[in-house]
Amino acid sequence: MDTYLTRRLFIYDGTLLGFGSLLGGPLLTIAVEAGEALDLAVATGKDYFRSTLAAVDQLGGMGRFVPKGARVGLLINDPFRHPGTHVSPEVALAVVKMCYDAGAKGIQVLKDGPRGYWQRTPLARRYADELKSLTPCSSRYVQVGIRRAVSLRQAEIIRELMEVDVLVNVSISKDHAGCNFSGILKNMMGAAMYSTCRYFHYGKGGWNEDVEFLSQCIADINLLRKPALCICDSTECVVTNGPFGPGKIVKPQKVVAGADPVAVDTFCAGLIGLVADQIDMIGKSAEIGLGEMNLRKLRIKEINV
Amino acid sequence: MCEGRSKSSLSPGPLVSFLATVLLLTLTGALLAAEDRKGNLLALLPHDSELGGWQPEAPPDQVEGEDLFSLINGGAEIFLKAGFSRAVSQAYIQAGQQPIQLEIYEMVSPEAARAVFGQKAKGDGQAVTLGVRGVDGGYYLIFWQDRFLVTVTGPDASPDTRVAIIAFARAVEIRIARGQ
Repeated sequence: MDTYLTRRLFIYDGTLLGFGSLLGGPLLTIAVEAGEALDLAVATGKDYFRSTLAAVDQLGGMGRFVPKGARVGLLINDPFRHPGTHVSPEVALAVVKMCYDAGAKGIQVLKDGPRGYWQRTPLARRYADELKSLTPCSSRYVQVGIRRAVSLRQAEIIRELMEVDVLVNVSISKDHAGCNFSGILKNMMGAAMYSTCRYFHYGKGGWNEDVEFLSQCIADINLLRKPALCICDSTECVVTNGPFGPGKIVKPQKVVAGADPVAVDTFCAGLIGLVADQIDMIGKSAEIGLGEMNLRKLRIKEINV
Repeated sequence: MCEGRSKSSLSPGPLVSFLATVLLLTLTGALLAAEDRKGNLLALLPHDSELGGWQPEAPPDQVEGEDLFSLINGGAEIFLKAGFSRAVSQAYIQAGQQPIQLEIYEMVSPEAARAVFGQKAKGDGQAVTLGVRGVDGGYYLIFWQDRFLVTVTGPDASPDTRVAIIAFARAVEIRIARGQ
C-alpha cells in the first residue's frame, strides 16, 4: 500500500491553494484584499528569536496565518552545518512557538534537519516540550503532476506537503552556485525527493549549467503549494561558496516575514547585495503569478528590535 | 570407463576446493582492506589530547560514494564529479560554544582533491601554509593534501575559535602526512 501511495500520481492544477487551504488561504486573501495588513515586515536586531516574533507580530500575528486547530507543515532550510548556510535555530524555534501559541493542532516537519540542529540554541531547553511534539518527516514521497508548469511537469514530493492545512516556509538568504540566490522559492526544493532536485540541477547540460531550466523548475515547483507564511532568515548569510559553504559571511541581522514568496525573496536578495531582476528564478516566479517583485507596490515596515 | 568416470568425478573436487579457498581468501582480504581503509579515515581525526577541551558531539558521520548526498545535500555534486571516495564529518562541542565542524573528504586521487579545493577556495580567504595548498577564511580553514580535502569550520573568527580550528587542521595535516 505504501509503495502504491508513494508512486501514485496526483495531478495538481497549480491554483496555489493546497488541500488544506480552506483553513489558511482564504483568511489571508481576505486580509490582503481588505488592505488591512502589511505585505512585508522586517525586524532588525541581534536577538534572532525576538526578531522573528516581532516580524510576524507586525504582520498581525501568527493567528492571521495559522487558524486554531490547524496542522502546520514546516519547511525549514537547515540541512547544512556551516554558519550562514542554514536557518538559525532561534528563528525556526520562534516559528514553532508562535504556531503553537496560535493554536496549531500539530506541526509536521517536512524535511528533517541534521542531528543536533535544535541543540545549537540554548533556547531548545526552554522549549523542549514544543520540540518534542514536532512530527518528524515521514520520508514518504508521492509523485505529483503540475499542470501549469513550464518545465517541471512532474515531481516527487513529500506527501504531507499537500496534506497539511497550512504551509510555513522558513528559509535563509544566501548565495547559491546554481541560481545565484537561495531563499523562500528555492527552499521548496526541500520538499522534493533528491532525484527531482537532481533533475532540476542537471537540466540539459551538466550540474548547474542550465540556469534557465533550474530557475524555471524552481518557479514550477512553487505552483504546488503557496505558503501561508514565509519567514526568511537574513541575519547571517554566506555570500560565496553557497549553498553549502563555508564562505564569506555578511550579517544584515534581519528577519523578513510575508505571505508572498516572490516579494520576500526580492527584498532578501537585496540584503545580501544582489538584484532580484538579475535572478532568473525570481523573475520566472513572478511571471507565472507567484507574487510581486516590484517592492514599490508593497507595504513594507521595518522595525528595530 | 568406470575408473575414468571415477577419476573425472573426483578430479574437480580438489580444484573446486582450491578455487573456493582462493576466492574466500581474496574476499576476506578485500573486506579487511576495506575495513582498514575505513579505519584509516577515522584515524585522521584528532586525538582527545589535541582537542583543547572540545569533545565530539556524537559519533562521526561516515559516508561513501553517492551517500554523500545524505551528508551535504546538493553540495555533493562537485565532489562526485571530481571523483569522491568517502568522507567523515565530526562536530566538536564545548560548553557555551557553538560547534566546530571537521570534514575530511577522501577523493579518488590527489588531482581530484585539488580540483575540489579549486572550487571551494575560489575568491575567498587568504593563502595559508597548510597541506599542499590551504585557504584561511577567518572562521574556517580549507586545505588539500594527498587525496584528501579537509575543512575545519568554527562558528566565528574569535581568537578562541581560531586557536581551535588551527589546532584541528594541523592535527589532521600531520596524520595525512604520516599516512603517505
